Amino acid sequence: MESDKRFELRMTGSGGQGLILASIILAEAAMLEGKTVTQSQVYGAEARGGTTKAELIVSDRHIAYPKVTDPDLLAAMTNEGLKQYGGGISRRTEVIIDSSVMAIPDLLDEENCRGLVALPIRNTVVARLQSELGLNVALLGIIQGLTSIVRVESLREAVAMHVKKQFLNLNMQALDLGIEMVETQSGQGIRI
Amino acid sequence: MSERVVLMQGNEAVAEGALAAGVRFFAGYPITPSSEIAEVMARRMPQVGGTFIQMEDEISSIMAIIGASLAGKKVLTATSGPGFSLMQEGLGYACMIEAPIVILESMRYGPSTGMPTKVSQMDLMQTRWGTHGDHWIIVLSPSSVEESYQLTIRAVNLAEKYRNPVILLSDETISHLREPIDTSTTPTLVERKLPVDKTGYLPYKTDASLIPTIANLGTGYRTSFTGLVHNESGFQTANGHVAEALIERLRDKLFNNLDDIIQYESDRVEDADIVFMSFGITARAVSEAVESLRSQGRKAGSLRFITLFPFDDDRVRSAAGHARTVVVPELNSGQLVLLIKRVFGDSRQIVPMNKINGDLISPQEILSFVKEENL
Amino acid sequence: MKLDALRSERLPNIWCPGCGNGIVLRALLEAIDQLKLDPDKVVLVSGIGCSSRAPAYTAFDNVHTLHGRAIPVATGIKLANPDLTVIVVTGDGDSSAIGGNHLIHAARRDVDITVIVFNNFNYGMTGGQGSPLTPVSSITTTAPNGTLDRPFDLVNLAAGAGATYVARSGIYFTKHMVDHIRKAIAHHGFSLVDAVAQCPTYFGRFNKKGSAGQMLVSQKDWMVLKSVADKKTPEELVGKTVIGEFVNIERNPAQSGEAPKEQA
Repeated sequence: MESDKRFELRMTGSGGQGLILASIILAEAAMLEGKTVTQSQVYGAEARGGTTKAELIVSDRHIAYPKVTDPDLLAAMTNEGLKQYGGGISRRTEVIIDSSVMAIPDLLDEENCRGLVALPIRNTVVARLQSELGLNVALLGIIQGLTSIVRVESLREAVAMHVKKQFLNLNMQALDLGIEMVETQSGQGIRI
Repeated sequence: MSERVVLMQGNEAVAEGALAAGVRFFAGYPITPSSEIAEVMARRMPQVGGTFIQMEDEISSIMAIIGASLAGKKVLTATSGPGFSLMQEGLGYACMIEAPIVILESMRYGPSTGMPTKVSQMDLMQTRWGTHGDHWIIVLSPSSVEESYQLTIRAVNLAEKYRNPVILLSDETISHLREPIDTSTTPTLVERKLPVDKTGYLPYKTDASLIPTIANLGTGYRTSFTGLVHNESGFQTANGHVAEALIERLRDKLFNNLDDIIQYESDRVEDADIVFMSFGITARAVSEAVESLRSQGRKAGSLRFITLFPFDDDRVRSAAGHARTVVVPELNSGQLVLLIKRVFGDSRQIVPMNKINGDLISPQEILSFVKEENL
Repeated sequence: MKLDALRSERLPNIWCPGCGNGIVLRALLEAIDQLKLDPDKVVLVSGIGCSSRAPAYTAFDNVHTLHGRAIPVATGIKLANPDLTVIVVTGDGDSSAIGGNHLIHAARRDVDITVIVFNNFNYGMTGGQGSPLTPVSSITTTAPNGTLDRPFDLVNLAAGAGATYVARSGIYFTKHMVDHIRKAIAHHGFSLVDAVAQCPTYFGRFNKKGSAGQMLVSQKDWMVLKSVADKKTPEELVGKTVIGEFVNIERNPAQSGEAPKEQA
């Protein structure tokens, strides 16, 4: 991240995927590096299973307006999430989609976003970790790999603050897996 | 950042601020978007030797904190518009008997059940005029998580000092927003004045401060409280002169101390030709818009109301600089703007900017508005 | 009873000649006196109505609250300072109509307060309107042809909601009333006494109950001691009101008033 810049992230998917927690973990990782943050989420009537949205702004300076207006990164983990909260992106927005559950959206091209990273996130996590539990933290690894918005060590520390001991190892593996997916994306990911 | 800087949600910051301010009694009823305050209090109160109780509705919630306050505790309840409507009779009662209480009101989209998870600033006038009869009230408005913490402490202090209800007027966005806050400073706490001599004790007799020195229940003073008009001894009377003096005193105990109660945040109003007047979450969009306008060479300024009520026209006039144009953005159909118009009459161009779709006013929208309206 | 329990400078009271409230108030003060409570630690809390004026005639700390809201205020006082003896003085309308929800929830929680219902079957202060305790077919200013709604049985209501001490008495039976109010105050947990009084000005006059004196004495005709009633058939008890102790149980240990265990 360039100094003095504001980084805006929007994550969307299905309730229960842990995206809100992921945004909190990333917020705390940024705070460990002395950055300031605002984190928010959409509140719906559904407690589980509905479409969800979590937003995070990271900046070196005071953040006045606390909501995402022009995301640098949009991570969509379901078609429904992309449909509902995929608006409001611009040519500065990099879009991540989970190609395990989503087709490449026709609407996304060079005209309306900066780039598209399609990775089979869910399938890879399940194949390698035998669990869906690490999905959100794997996404954080991908975000770190793509943007270096925070250091990996800060993310590890923030993950450890939030996950239960018995799931710590799994989550650390998920984080590494996310970073690895970015490194090897030329093989399996699609970038426009 | 210091070790005490933690990521906290607005509602959590209110609860922690209240605990730091010495609040040891919380009664409430679940309602979006303030329920997290009750949830945090349910967990935290037993840890500090305090009391949490979930009541059967918002009416009983405010009445329970009034009872606990009379028994000597610093108290808080938290609600949103629909619950705040139910609290109105208790609010007037607390004004009348001069019970120190703090109510957190997190505005959601109304009227009625409205849109429970969407933001608005539609309850501004309700905080001032929701309960019947002439009464005076203190309303504070945070615009960030950090300020939610600090203003909760201030609200408790003001309530105890002036023996008056204080309303913290927050909103859905701030309630649910997470931001880093620093809880390392030790707050200065205010304790209510208590009588020291039972001889000639008159609970509602006041000195020049006009603030009564009332004993806590169970301390041997044998006090009588009533929502009926009462004399210095606390007993009911239908004497018109006593009534008039009481209502005037309730006003003057606050209005004689406006320097202590009223806070604004002003930004570059001195040389501004356009000033935005706002409160709460909307002020954060104003802050960015003013920055953008200044960078474009436009002399823009901002006045943010941290204290909304008491609202003092003279202070607003002198805090407003000389801008010919005053823009009042707010998430309702025009409530703050009524007060601003009262202050300036036709002497300035007063421009309301309203949004009522459940979303925030963004900085970009303010810039577009200024452009489109040729302001 | 010691006279210093009254604020004599506040007398005479606002009640009509023949009102039953004074007898209930005296019974309450007698009960407090018999219990030898520290007068500095007794708080009387009331709502709105004729009976709710009673606390301000006493020399105790007293809180005259809003219509129906005495119980939540009393709950706040008791939880804030458990050393206090908190007694709610309320009427039939105040406690069972506008305050009915608070009544059942306080009973459910088993808050350690005592509720004394000065029950005169109507709203006296506002001119004799019907209350939820007005007997069916009675004439009131809001039921000129007789009430259609059935009344609550306050004893059953409180018992059903979980009160751990419930009694009923009448102003004719003054010792009985003092005894049951005393037991209610001494009880650890939520207690309620349905103290049947009278309103000769409205309910009595509208329903041709005779003079205040006749109304008072008539209680011995239409009231039956529980010990007697227990041996009678339902048919024999038609038109009778049973007085005595209906519930007196140990409170639920989970509601013993101890602070919940601190969570990690």
